[in-house]
Amino acid sequence: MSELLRRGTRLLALALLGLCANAALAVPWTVQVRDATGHPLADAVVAVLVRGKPARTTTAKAEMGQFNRQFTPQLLVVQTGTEVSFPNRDSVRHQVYSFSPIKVFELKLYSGTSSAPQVFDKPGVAALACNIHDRMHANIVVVDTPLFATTDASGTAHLDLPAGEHVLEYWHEQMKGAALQSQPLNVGESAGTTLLTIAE
Amino acid sequence: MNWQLFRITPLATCLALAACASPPEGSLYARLGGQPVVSVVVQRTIDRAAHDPRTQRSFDGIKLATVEASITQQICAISGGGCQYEGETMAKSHHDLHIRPSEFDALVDILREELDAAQVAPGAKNDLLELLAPMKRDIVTAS
Repeated sequence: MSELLRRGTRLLALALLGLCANAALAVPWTVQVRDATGHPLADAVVAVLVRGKPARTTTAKAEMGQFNRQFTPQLLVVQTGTEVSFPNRDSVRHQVYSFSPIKVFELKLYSGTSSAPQVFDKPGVAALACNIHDRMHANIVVVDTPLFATTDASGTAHLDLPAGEHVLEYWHEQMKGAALQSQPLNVGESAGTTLLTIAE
Repeated sequence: MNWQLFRITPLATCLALAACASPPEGSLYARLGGQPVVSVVVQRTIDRAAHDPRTQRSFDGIKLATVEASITQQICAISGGGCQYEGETMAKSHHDLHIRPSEFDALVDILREELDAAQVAPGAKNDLLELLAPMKRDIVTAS
């Protein structure tokens, strides 16, 4: 009987330990973004900087394609250090460029090809355009964390965060300038919501 | 004097430059007036075409300055100006636009008018149009 009790207790302890390891990223957090008039704001980028988590990646890869004379996607969020390729899946040539200080480049992209990928190694926002097609626009938002999300049509983004005192960074195309805004974010033991208003 | 070197040097010089200040003597490009004339004729032609109801459709959303520079380079290349054309083929760049013969013809009319306005000699004008005519096959894909 006592042997069973002993084994049971040990199993329970191991199970609890397992739960504790996962508790590192166990707190569901919601960010609700709205504009100055109170309407939900879609396509807002939110990112959480966590002390001790590596800011840069050396392995992440992402894609900024071109199709139907438009960028796909038009909003791409990546962690600093991500390698971004630019596959041209269109039937026409594109000349993709950025003058944004965090990444200046120009790529002649023949239809059906992809040139050498660009590493986005500085945080901030890069605005992309095409030298041939006037209406092609996209933004690549680079953040110093792997914890990021984009708000949906209801202005909501969900993240799983560790408990602690962090920094919340955010950006939307409506904001003037290419810098993310930031504010402190305290995450307790239980789920919570941050309400953000992004004015122009 | 090395006669061969004398003939090759101007061409080599032109090849080294994107747009030649002094194109090879006797070339059609030179007879057209070289870069100063061709670039202005192309710019005026495309600006008009982009706003002319007969042709504006296919210029929708296009950065005109880029297209104008590309066409100028193309004309320089095909008329012996020594340029290297780096743009897209006529077939690929027009394929998804479904250009109609009437649109192509209207553009050629506008080009003709601008060549006249720039006082390009009739012989040079006709020689250029003859060089451009075969492109209709690749550009026009609708009826």
